[in-house]
Amino acid sequence: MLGADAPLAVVLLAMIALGLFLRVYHLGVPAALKWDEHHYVETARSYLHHQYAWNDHPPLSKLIIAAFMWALGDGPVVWRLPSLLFGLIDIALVAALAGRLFASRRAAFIAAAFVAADGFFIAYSRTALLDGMIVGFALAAMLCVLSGRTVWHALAAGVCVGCATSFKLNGLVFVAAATAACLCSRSLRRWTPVLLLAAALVFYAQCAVALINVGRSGSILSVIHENREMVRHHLSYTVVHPYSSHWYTWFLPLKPIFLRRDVGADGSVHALLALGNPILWWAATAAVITAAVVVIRTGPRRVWQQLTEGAGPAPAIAGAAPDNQAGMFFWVLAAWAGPIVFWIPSLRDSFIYHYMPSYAFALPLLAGFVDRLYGRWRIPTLIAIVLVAEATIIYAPLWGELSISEAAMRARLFPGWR
Amino acid sequence: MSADRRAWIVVALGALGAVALWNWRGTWNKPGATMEAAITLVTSDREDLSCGLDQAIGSLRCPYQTSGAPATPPVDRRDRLAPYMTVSRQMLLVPALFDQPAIAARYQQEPPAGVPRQQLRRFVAHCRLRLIDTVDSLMVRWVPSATWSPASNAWVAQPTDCRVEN
Repeated sequence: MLGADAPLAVVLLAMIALGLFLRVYHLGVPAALKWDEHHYVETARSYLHHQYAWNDHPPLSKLIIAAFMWALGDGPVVWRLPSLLFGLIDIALVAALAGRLFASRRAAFIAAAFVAADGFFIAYSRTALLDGMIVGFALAAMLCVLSGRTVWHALAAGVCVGCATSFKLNGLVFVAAATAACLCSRSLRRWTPVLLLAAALVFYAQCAVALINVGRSGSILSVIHENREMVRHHLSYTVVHPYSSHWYTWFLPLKPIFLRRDVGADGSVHALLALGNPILWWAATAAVITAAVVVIRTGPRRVWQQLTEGAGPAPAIAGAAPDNQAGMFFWVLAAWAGPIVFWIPSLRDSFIYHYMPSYAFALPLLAGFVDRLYGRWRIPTLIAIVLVAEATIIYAPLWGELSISEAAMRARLFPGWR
Repeated sequence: MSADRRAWIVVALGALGAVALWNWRGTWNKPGATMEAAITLVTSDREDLSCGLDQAIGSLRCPYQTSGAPATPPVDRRDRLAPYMTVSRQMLLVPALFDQPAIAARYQQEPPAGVPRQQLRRFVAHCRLRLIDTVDSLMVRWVPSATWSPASNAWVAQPTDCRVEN
């Protein structure tokens, strides 16, 4: 995509380059643990020393961090390296999903730039936290079921949703979404048990490995006991954290979280704010509504027909909508809604980062619609994309932990965000 | 004007905006800059406060090493750093603060000799300081009888002018 699209390509490449820079810049600073990193790094250390540690989430992420620490040593860059790698993979996966949904390389390129230049994804690539990892496996699982026709796709999807659930139990929503997509697809339906079995095996295996590593039994009963205690802990959790927020506030958002906010001796602030690019954030919700309208206008009969057909052939004309686009939108919308619906009946306090997987499924939709707008109104759409890039530059100090004055930081924040 | 040219103009304007926005980060203290600080003191601080640091900042040094051993050779009084706290709890390492005329005069008004530290009246010195460098970690001691405790993130600063608020 060059020639007439060269100016767009330059802007998108600049956004990706900036996003990569903000992900890796001073990754090892601070050398101390920030936000909730202590939950995961301390547990990973315990695993390295074969000591039992209480888990409030399944152990897979801690096992991954422990494996990195075992291979590369115990240091701040190493703790955050898995998150960085998943952050990079997330860029590629969102791009692949956008490319699949809209059969457009340009849509994929736009999606990659959007994820790369988004502060939510940048912040979670810079911290030893789990949510960016869940996003990666959820995206990979849905890509498998939306593109797949064989047992291997069902197996891969099962492994991915099993991993997503093995980071946090709210990954279960992706087991449900992938299973439903698999059941509906005529070509994948018979492999649904493979998907479920793979997910269950992955979940069991990572729990068992963690238990055996600390000298305990890795039997099914032990794994069930461990997880029952974990669920009980979450259900009895009554503390309301000042940073917690209700699910219906996430679309604005009302309460982004400072993962770090340090004032140096020189008076400069180094902050890490888990806040999406505001333009993308609001536009992503509009894209979800647009996709829902497409599904509704397509009608239930045709959508059901597309759902049962599963992965359709690539369209003959490049950039044309795939034959089963409304059906794919349906599943992407399901994957978007799942993490939100999970928190609607929950009494436990929720946080804006629980919205991260939903946001990851909204961005490919946004990128595809922007791609279509670009095809129709090139200059206005290019201006809009440039504005997204400018918004990233405005918030870059708060996403890349660059030096900034307190006044300049506060000038970037709406009153409720401070 | 062709669409291609207009697209490139959008990109160029975006790049100009990007440069301006990238630099919009405000100002904070940097070496060579001057800062105003309100330092909280009692007159016995002249002799009591001490720091331990292995490195020298130009000719300026703490009188002790981080191990607690005296620095060798002994540091000249005018180059001897001591830790002070501002009213906003920022630590500054300042040489010869009590040589500033206003603070020296305040010292003469209430000599600490023979007076328990807690009976001395606390005052605030509003000083203009030239920032020299930051120190990441050091040891500090607030009275000679106390043990050393670790501290971090302190500016080394040279006072240029002080006035005392009683």
